[in-house]
Amino acid sequence: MKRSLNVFLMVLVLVVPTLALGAGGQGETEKPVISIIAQVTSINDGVNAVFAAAEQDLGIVVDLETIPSSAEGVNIIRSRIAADDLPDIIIFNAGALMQTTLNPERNLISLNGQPFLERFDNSYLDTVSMGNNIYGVPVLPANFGGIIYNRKVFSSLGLSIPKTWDEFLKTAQKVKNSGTGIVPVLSTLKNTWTSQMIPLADFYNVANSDRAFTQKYSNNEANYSNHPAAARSFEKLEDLAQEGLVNSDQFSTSYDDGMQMIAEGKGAMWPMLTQVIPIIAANYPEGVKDLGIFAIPGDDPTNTGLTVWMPNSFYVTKAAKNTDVIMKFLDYYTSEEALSIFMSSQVLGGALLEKNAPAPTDILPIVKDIMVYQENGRTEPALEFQSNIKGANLQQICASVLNGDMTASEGAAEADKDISKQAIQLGIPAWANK
Amino acid sequence: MQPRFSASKIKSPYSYGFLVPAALIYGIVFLVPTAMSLFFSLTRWTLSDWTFVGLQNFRDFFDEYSLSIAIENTLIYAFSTSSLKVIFALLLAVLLTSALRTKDLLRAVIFFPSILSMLAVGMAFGSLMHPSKGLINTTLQLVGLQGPDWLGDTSIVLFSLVLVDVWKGLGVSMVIYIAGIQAIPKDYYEAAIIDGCNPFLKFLYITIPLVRPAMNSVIILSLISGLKTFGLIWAMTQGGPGYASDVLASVIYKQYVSGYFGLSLAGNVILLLIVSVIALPLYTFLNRNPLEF
Amino acid sequence: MKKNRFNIGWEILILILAVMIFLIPFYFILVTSMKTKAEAGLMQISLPSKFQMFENYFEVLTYRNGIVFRAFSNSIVLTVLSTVGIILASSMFSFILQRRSMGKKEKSILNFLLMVGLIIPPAIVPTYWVLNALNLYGRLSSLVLVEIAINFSYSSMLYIAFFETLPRSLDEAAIIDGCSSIRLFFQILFPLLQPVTITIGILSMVNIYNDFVNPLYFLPGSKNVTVQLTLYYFQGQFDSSWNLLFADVVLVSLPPLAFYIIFNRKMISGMTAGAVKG
Repeated sequence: MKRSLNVFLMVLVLVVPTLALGAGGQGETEKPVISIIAQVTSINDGVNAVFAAAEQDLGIVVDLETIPSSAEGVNIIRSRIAADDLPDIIIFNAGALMQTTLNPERNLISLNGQPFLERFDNSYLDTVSMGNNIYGVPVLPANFGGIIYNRKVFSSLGLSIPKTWDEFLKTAQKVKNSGTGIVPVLSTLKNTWTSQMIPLADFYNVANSDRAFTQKYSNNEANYSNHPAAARSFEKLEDLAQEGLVNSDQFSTSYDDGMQMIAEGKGAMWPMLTQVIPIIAANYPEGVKDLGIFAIPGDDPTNTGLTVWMPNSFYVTKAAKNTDVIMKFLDYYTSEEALSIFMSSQVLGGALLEKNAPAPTDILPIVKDIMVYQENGRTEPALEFQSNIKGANLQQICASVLNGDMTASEGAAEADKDISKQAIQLGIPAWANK
Repeated sequence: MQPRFSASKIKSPYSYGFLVPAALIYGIVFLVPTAMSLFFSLTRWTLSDWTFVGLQNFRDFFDEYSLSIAIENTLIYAFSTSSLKVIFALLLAVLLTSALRTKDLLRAVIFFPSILSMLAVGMAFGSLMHPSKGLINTTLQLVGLQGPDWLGDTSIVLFSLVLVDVWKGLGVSMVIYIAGIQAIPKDYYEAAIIDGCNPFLKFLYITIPLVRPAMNSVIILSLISGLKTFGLIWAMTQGGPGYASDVLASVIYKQYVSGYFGLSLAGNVILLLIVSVIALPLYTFLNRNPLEF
Repeated sequence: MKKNRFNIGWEILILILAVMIFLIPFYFILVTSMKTKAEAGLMQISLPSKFQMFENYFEVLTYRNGIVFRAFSNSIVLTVLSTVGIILASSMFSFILQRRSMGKKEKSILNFLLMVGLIIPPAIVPTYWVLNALNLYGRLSSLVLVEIAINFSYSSMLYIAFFETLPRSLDEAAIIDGCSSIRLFFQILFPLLQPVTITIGILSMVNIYNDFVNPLYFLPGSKNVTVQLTLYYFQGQFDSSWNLLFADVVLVSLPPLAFYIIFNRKMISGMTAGAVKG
């Protein structure tokens, strides 16, 4: 008996103030509400600032439900779709993942004909389309993948930017032999996804060597084992592992650690996406100015380029009722006004895709590096944005290669198996006769 | 002793009515969906449509790169964590049901880790086990030892995970044992004192035999939870480095998360079979002579 | 009263050892929760160089208009309701399974079905369909039912094991006295199982409270957040605010800890030894 009394009291003590507090937050509102579900990592200060501005300027309220960003989050979205429990908007990846997870033809509303689509290039729009329908607009700037490096370290060790992969290895060797204890190439495998950076960001070189690669890849004609340029990507991982150019405790080194080390000059180079820049800028405001980026070198010194990651985007679901309000919101979000708000609330770590984006002021040196590549047309969307087949286990395979547990060819073979599994699951004819 | 109510003359006081709430909830909310998922393990399923593929998923599951590692790891993990918990929790429980003055505090301290969420434990130990900066290795350095890379060295990562699992789960097993020890009628102990028994003999001849119901529970529960373990491993290594700490449950999870629903359900069926093959005979064996006080 | 067999010195030593082994990781969490974001990110067990405890906890509690409070309310209501349900359903079920004599076959079938619950995690999408068909999806009651179903197996197994320790002579005495089965169960047997009921209560509460997966699947919506989910708020943006995250962990751990400390004493007072004699 005493126990139930205790329990009752506890519940009372905790529920009453909560109801009081909770009730305070829910005022009756006449303003239209848009419900959005997003993974936590898609939301940053810039996004929140624009949402707040939308409420102020347009009177549109955003009801944001955030879910975990890991695989668990993807699963939740899948399950909501299966249960037909959809919000108005889903914020999600572009490219292969969007097509396979969101099943656009069944669940999303086409944005064709909306005026705000004019603000974007086809290179982006293709990655949020299926068939002849466009489904998304970006939430964030696009990201670039390459080798982030610390200028100070380079200048103090007398290093210059390598233009071929061999030069890259030599540069790393120099750092290793310099006796300074600086890590030549950072590897932050505590966050396993980072293992894929080199093969994925190397795609510029693969596409460059063979413009038809993507087509062949989707048709099961080219893969990581039989196509020399693609196989090179895995060999690059193997080179790093064999020559001992990564930090020995790579499995305990986290993404956060990586940011600190590159900003403070404890690491020389880090294959990574530029999405880290705003975060480094927030945590290491002085160190971020020492950073630059160069493309992963291939074998052709005259042609190197950054691989582009299309940003997470807004997708309107079939459950949305107030489509006029939603289109107005999307139009606002991609307008110059909103973009200015975004840029003033968030350090830029990539490139806004809107053609009407105001020119950024106060750019970091590393962002200037990015712009050089962009202006010279030396960028290429990553493979997952050009083909809807992406293997699910790439990160583990790459981690195994970096660890020396798999050779490059074993890794490539495993990756191919992984890819074909996905293709079969998708029911793609070219793989059906396995 | 024969229960007297098996005769049809007297209406059994053990009416099936008591089973109704359980049957409704467990049956409808759990068993029915599980049966449905068994069906889907025979299909290629995208959540919105499915195609029947018979046993192909099962064949594919056995084709998984990391399967043999995963099975081996699962068995090692389950049997190690279980035996460690079964033995040490009992010893702790005996200690903490004795005349120790600090036993309340100790019980709270030892049970405490099980209250923490997996996420918190995973993160805390992830940093404690850092090869150079983590507390464990820096402490070892103080006494001149070089600690290994607990989570990054593929040959010992499983062992490290076993340690963390036992650390977290010891309290739960201990609590079950304590309940079991408290269920032993005091008369037995009092009789033993009169006979001049020392504590060790009391433990051997009274406690161990009579704590059997609790021990059986601990054995079965810890073994099964070890066989299907997932949360801790996922929180700490996600099956890594590479595939070194993959267990069946993490392999299945990765398939689920990659959208291979039929395949992961097939994996679940396989896991169910493996666990049943181990646990059911064990359960029957342990309960062959039900204890009657 | 038993004699104090142990030297106070040993007792203190054991206590210190236990504290070090079992509490240090939490100490780490606590200490990190008081640091600045950058320092917390380094994950060292050092004391904070800049003490930021109040700012951190304040930030966590006021995050998004105090959503943490709402999460507490949701979690606690869910936990309490589910635990009561588990205790009732599984104790009644185990009562019959252990006491009633049935054919060996029926018993094995029931045992097997019970095992299934221990081993297989719930199939998410089919469970959706069932809940939808019952028109319960999205309501707290559906999540309560799911949690009961998930925890049913292990708690039944524990009850079965402990029903064994209650001699049948009790049942027989009660029946002779004219007890109905309901009175037999609720007034005589169930109270004697107090230690295991409390054990199951504590274990279930901890399990359900720490479960973040099932609420995500079965009780969606920004208003329905549970405490575990709030941990993800501080893992945003590819970098984690470890200091806030751990502050949240500390806050989230307080209710189960408090609950355990309170009910730990109940377990000590133990079973009423008197009822079993003679």
